[in-house]
Amino acid sequence: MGRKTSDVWQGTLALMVLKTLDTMGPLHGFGIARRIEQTSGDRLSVNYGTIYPALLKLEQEGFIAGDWGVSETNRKARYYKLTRTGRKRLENAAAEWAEATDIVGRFFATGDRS
Amino acid sequence: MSPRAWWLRTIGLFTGRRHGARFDAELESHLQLHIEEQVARGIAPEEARRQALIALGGVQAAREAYRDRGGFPSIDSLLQDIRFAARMLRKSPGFTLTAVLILGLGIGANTAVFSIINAVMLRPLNGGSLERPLVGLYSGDHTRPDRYRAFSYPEYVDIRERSNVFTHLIAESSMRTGITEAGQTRRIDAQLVSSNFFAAQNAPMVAGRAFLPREEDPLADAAVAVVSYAFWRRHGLASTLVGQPIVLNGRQFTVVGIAPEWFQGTMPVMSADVWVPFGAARLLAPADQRGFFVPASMDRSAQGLLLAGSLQPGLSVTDAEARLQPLARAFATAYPEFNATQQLVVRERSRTARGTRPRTDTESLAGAGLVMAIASLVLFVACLNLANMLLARSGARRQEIAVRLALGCSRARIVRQLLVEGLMLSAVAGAAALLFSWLGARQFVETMRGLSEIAIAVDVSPDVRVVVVVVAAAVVSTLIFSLGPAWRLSRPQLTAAMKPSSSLADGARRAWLPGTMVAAQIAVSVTLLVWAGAFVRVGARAAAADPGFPLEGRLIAQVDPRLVGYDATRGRAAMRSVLARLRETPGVVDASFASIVPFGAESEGRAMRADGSKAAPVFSRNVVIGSRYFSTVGLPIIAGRDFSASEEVRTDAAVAIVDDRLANRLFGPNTNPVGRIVHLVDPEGGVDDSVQVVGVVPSVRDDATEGPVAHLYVPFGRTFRMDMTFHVRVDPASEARMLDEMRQAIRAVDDRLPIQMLRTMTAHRDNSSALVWTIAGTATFAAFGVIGLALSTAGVYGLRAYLVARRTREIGLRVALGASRQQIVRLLLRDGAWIAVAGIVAGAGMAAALIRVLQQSGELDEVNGLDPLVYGAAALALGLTTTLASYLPARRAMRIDPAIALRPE
Repeated sequence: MGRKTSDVWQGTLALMVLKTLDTMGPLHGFGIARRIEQTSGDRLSVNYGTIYPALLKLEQEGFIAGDWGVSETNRKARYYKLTRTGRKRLENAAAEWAEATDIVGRFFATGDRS
Repeated sequence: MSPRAWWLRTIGLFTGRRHGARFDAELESHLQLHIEEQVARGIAPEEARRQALIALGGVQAAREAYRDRGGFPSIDSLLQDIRFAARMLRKSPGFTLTAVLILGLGIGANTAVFSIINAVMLRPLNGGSLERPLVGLYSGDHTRPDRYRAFSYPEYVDIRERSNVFTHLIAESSMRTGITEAGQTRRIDAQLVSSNFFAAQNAPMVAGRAFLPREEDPLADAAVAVVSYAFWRRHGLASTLVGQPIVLNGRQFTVVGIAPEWFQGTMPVMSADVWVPFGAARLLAPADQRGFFVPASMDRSAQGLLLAGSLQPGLSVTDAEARLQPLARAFATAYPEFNATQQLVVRERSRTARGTRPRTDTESLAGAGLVMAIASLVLFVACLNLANMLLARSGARRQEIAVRLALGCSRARIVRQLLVEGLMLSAVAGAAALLFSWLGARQFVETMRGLSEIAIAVDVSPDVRVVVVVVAAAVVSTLIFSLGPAWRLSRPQLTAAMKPSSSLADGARRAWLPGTMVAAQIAVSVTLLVWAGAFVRVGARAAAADPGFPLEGRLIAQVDPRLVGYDATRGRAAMRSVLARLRETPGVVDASFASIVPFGAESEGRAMRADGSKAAPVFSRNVVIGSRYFSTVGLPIIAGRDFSASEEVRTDAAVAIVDDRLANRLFGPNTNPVGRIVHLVDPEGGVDDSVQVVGVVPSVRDDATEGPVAHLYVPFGRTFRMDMTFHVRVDPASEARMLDEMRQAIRAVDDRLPIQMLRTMTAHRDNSSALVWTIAGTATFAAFGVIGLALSTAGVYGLRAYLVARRTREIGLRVALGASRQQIVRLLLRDGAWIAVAGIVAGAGMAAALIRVLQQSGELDEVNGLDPLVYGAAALALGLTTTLASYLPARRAMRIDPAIALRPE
């Protein structure tokens, strides 16, 4: 079941897309969506309406670049790859995410008072 | 959003369709890949496809989300509205063309009037070369509040050097000058200016130099001149113009500088070709003419300069005036003869009038406001027309709108879309209006230029202000004609609208709004026509007015020997020779000359007192004439005699002839003034000259639009004027031929004498500027009136046609039930008659009220506010046109076939 889209959700989706492209290399929209579903252990389901707006936004911001290519099954599809700006964004985002988790984690940690 | 995203989204607005297609392809490929994956897992292709479609969600929603990100959604829908509106307008070219024409006419009329007002009153002078316009410095009198005079040159220098109020103080005057080019001499007004004139107005010369301080000295005899850019252009923009000679009043001057193209001088409407320094004044004056007034000399009694200056930064007009008071007091002590009661007054300068006294532009602005109000009325009528047209036309769109409302479109969205349609019409009409108005205003100025005796230069090309007015007019018009119909149309009465035909009862009930609008149109048209009619009456009266003397068979020729540099002796001789020659020319019944001609642009006044009278001086016109003037012009001598031939020549004949009006005012009614003495006085009451009255003549009107005025006639021998107008009396049938004879006679005496004007008295009267202005005003109002009439007639026709169309079923039913065709026509006409009557009555009332208001404010004295002929004519015109406009659709109704009309839709 997909959760209701919110800004936070869209932001994390964008990060997931970037990370996916970083790991997998250039991939088409279907592949990205599939990969995200797999990585989340099928707890997320990604459809047209969620993935494509996110891809468009990332493309507009310049973090990914899209171009037509041919899939393994000889089908024409649009492939996206990570740009240099996108890679930098990913690094920053990873660091931010780690810090955010750390801080919030402190609030939820039981027993510890420092 | 990053700048990059903004940029891409903006581009996305325009490339939306291409990207949309690409996105569709991408979605399709995504779908196919998904299906392939499922098929690879062993699911059947159709099942795979079905599941894929379910899993992947609505394509449409994805497209919408994509599109929303790809551009700006609100702008997107606006663009959609615009595209839709353009398509709707293209679909009905007849309506679009008519609407654009009507609206263009209305907006164009307003814009044309505003362009002229803008050029004369609002545009910064000289393209805004000065941040703060010059203020005027005036010489008043603190004992008499309304008395002003010009300044003398020494006064000007004193003020310039000793006041701490102005960063620049300039002085100017003008002298009538003849400029001789290629053997032809024409008359111009050369501008006499101080040496800082151009610098004070931030006008650097495009070639050469401005005047030097030493050239400003009245005794310098500086034969130099600066010419205008237009003058340079007429000489082919030759680079050698600086340093070349020009001939002014027969003397050779040298061109030392050329003014910038945008420089117009100190007045917005008048243009100058030649500027000379004060040091040239003596050179331009005719030698040895006793009493000739040179505006700039070292004599403090020669007061002919107008002063203006740029105030020091931060200084207000009131402060400046206060700071000048000590200076005025110093003058009063130092020069009690001239400055004892002087008060220095600082005021903003008027844009339309220039003189020794400060003037405001309120009268001109009021007049301009009036004309703009009338033009706005015409636009209003046009908008009402359009509103009606839109309502009628949109009847067909009711269904479309009802369906859209049912599908969930908001009412605001529909209203917005209809407004966009209206705005598109207004935009196109506005562009057309801009063009029309520019051409129209230019033509108007050209016509005025041809008729005016002074050089006029008015730039009516559209500038920011004019464009703003056009846009504002377009927007306001759109709101007036679109909002009402849009609001009505978008009312959510779904079921009623969606039914294919309207019920029988609808026809009468729904028609109140269009009917009221048409009544309003008719009312406004009546108002416009009444005004036009009233002014036409004034104009007709002026044109037909009897000047007091016959016009046929009278010819005039204006000659000024000063323009070719004749001095007083030579000039006097030349004028007398010409007169003698004219009197001898065969075909001439009689000939004389005069310094002032009726219906001309100039007049000269004089103050005088009867001998022994203690009353205040009487002002009257002063005319220098030769002998036999009255027999030539056609005025009888009521008492006494005319001037004799010797009095035309002798310098010691202290005689004068008065007209009956002046005799009344000097000596009282029923007194024979012949033999009495009149003292000609100066403004302070001191006696300049004393003359004896030898004759009395009837008074005449000098101006087509004013009444008769008092005249004093003095003989040529004693008071010499250089520029005289020759009057010749001939047989009326031979006017054309005798004009030629006159020209040849003058040439034969001296071919250097410039003939400025040679025409019949009738032509002169017809071309007089007062008459021309009255006719121009009348023509403008009449044009507006006719446009208003045309618009309201079209409105009535449109409304009647619309109503008849709506009542087709009802009419068909009536006919089927046995009503005759005539009865139908009468029924329809009767309904229309109420609207027309209401409109005419309302309009007449409005017109009368408005004229009453204007008369009380003193604006329209000659206009008769309750002229029955005018009201009757206006009512008749509208009655006829509305009847005709109602009758045509009614006639079509007669031919309605009940079988067709009653057919269910």
